[in-house]
Amino acid sequence: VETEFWNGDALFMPQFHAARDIHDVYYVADPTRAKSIEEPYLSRVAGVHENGGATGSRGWNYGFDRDFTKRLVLRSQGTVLSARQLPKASVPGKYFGIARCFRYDKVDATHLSDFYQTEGIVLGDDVNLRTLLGFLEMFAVEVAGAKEVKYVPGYFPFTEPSVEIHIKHPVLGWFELGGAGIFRPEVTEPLGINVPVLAWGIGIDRMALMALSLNDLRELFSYDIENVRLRRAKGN
Amino acid sequence: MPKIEVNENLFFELLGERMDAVTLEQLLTVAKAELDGWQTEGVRQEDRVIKIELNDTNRPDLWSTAGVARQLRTYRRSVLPDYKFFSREGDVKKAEYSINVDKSVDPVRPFLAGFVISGKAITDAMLRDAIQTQEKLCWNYGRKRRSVSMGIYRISLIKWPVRYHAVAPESASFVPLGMDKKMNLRDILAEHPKGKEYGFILQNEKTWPLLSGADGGILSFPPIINSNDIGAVEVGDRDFLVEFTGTEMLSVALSANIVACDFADAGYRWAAKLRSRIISRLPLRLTRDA
Repeated sequence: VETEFWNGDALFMPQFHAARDIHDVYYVADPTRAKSIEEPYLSRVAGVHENGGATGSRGWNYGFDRDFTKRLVLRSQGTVLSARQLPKASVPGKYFGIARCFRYDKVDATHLSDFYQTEGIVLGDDVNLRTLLGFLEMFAVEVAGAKEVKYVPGYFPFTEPSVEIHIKHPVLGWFELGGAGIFRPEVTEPLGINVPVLAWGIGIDRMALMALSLNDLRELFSYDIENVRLRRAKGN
Repeated sequence: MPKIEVNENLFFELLGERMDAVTLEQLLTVAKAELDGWQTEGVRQEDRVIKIELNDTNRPDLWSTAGVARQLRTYRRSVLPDYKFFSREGDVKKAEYSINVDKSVDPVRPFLAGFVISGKAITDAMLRDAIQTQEKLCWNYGRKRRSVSMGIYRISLIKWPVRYHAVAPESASFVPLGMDKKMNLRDILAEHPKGKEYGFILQNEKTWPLLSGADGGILSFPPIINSNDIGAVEVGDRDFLVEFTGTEMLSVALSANIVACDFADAGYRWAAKLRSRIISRLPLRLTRDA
């Protein structure tokens, strides 16, 4: 369970953003709100949304809702882990995590209503987009076992530039393995960081789909123990 | 994420070249866009529609046929587009037409920007595209028309100067688009489909916005509905007033700029500069093409 603050506001997603719609996020029915949000982060993030704060950005130009930000939701993106890590991160530093995420999605071969993301950030004066692409390729080739990889320009409210990494699956064709980018100053500055931060969120389930030669995400949750046992052997 | 449908011929004309689906799909990634569908079998070329999904929710300039074409063209040719009609410091021309923004709109919907264009008879495909641009821009970027709404009008029926003011809901009536009888503003909000859809924006306001000509002819009731005459653009019309009203000055100005560029790309030229009280204080003024 997360607050809207860490799930979206701290990531510079405007409170009116379509992805924060009630139809896309699971809301906690009881209790509905956290008691408070940590300062000075609340004030700094509110400032960045309203007018850019100290970042030089124009911000989103609207009145930040300090009640909405306390609303409890089920974590919808792994990037929340990175936002929470930034205030206590060292420079240089590398942080990794695995996060279970929940989204109101129609279940099919490549979508589940809950999924796992591996989340990572790399902080340092000398990191850049090339460094990031190198990390992404490592995940795609060495972990997921993809033979064909491509990068596509992407958009996420919290990164600029942003990139999607796509891999080619023998049966399902090209699909997105994950998203990445360099955190915007509107994300890092309020959380006390002033060096470039590479960030990515990669679907573990989707890496498994590739690595285990599956054709459907739902097979990952099979009751067929024999099948699961054989699959591991095949994966190795 | 915004999804748009573009007319195949119009799109390739704006792009300056035709291409097959594989090439287009690959090229669309530079607009952070995806090819969502393109039926070529059994459809006449002039009726074919390419469906495009835009992944960047913060680039409203891409949510139109001209917008996507501009992005792809810029990438292919490595030349940045240059729009001469934007005024620059020390190059502000006198307005020939004007819209007077009355103080009465301040509490309800204070900002307006607009421009006047001419030079080309609008085709069915272009008109559909303009309506789609209006929908995408005002729904997504304009927060369901709350912060930005847009209207297009036929110049030939307008008596200048136009006045943007706020009135009591029962004090003005006109025939709205899609109806055949005169209705006052309150009835439009209660009975017209667009009134029901967007009425939430005005329901708590005491006075409601109105755009009217010097002869009292009503252009529209922003952000709800155009009039059935001045505001009923038809295929073949050549000269237009395009205006934007809203609650956020920056969004209104940016929307006007986007649509101005779209029309310029489509071959329209500036008939005259149009000034308004609010927009003329901005560095984003629109002026006549020199």
